[in-house]
Amino acid sequence: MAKGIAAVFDAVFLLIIASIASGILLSVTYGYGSSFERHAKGVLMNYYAKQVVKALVTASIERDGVPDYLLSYLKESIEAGRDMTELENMLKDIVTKAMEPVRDRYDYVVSLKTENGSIFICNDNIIENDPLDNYFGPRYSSSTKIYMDIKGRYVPITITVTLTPRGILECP
Amino acid sequence: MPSLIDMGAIIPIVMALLLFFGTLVYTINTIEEKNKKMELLFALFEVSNMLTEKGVVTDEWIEKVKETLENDDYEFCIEKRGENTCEARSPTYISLEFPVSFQTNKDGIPFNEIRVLKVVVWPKV
Repeated sequence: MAKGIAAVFDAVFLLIIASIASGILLSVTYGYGSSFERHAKGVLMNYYAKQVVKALVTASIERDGVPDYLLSYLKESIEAGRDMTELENMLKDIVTKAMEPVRDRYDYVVSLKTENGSIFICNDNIIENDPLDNYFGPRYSSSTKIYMDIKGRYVPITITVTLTPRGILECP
Repeated sequence: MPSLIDMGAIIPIVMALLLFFGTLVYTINTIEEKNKKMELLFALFEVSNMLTEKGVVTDEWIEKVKETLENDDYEFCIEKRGENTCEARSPTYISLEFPVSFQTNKDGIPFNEIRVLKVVVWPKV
């Protein structure tokens, strides 16, 4: 009888060991690849921001029905000291199209900085100040600096695209 | 014939074996699935990078990418947003949407309009 009870206890002990081993296996399975997935998500969002920058640099606009490059128009505007309102609207239209797939999950800021001033677009709104100045949350960003020959001087233009998870950034 | 006490020992042993091996099978399947997903992610990067390496994208370039990247490991499809020409042919697929400068011609002059492209990748069966 005592031998039989000992066998039952042994079996229960085996069950406990099997439960612990299964728990370890499940926790390993759950964690496997999760850091890779997190990292990959960041890489994908940075890639997205990079593509928006590329698209802005190469984008065309229509001027009196004739195709021209957005950057050519920007150069002309700086050279002529023209009002930037029209350029801001053109930029906004392009950014709106480019952000279509991510707008429900991310807030975004597109900035174009020149010596003469800066343009900031935050979630389709043109604003005066950089909303990222007081933002310390997660962000995915890409930037490029272009030098434009303006009246014999190389003037730097910086285009930056930043995506932040929806709801954290305050866009005026 | 096994006694009642013997039966009392058999039940926990069977439960332990079922629990352990069940979890083991689940673990192996899940890890295999995750590995496949990682491989697909690398494939997605490969297709997307090649698609955008020239700066602007044209219909001819999309065709060239399709020809160049044809392989035995994965299949992929590229569609313009809103066209819905890509139908994932496998339950295991991943996709990525991103904007590009899509070059068309307007009266013989190149015009780069912003289009959103979708790349869908799935394993070759």
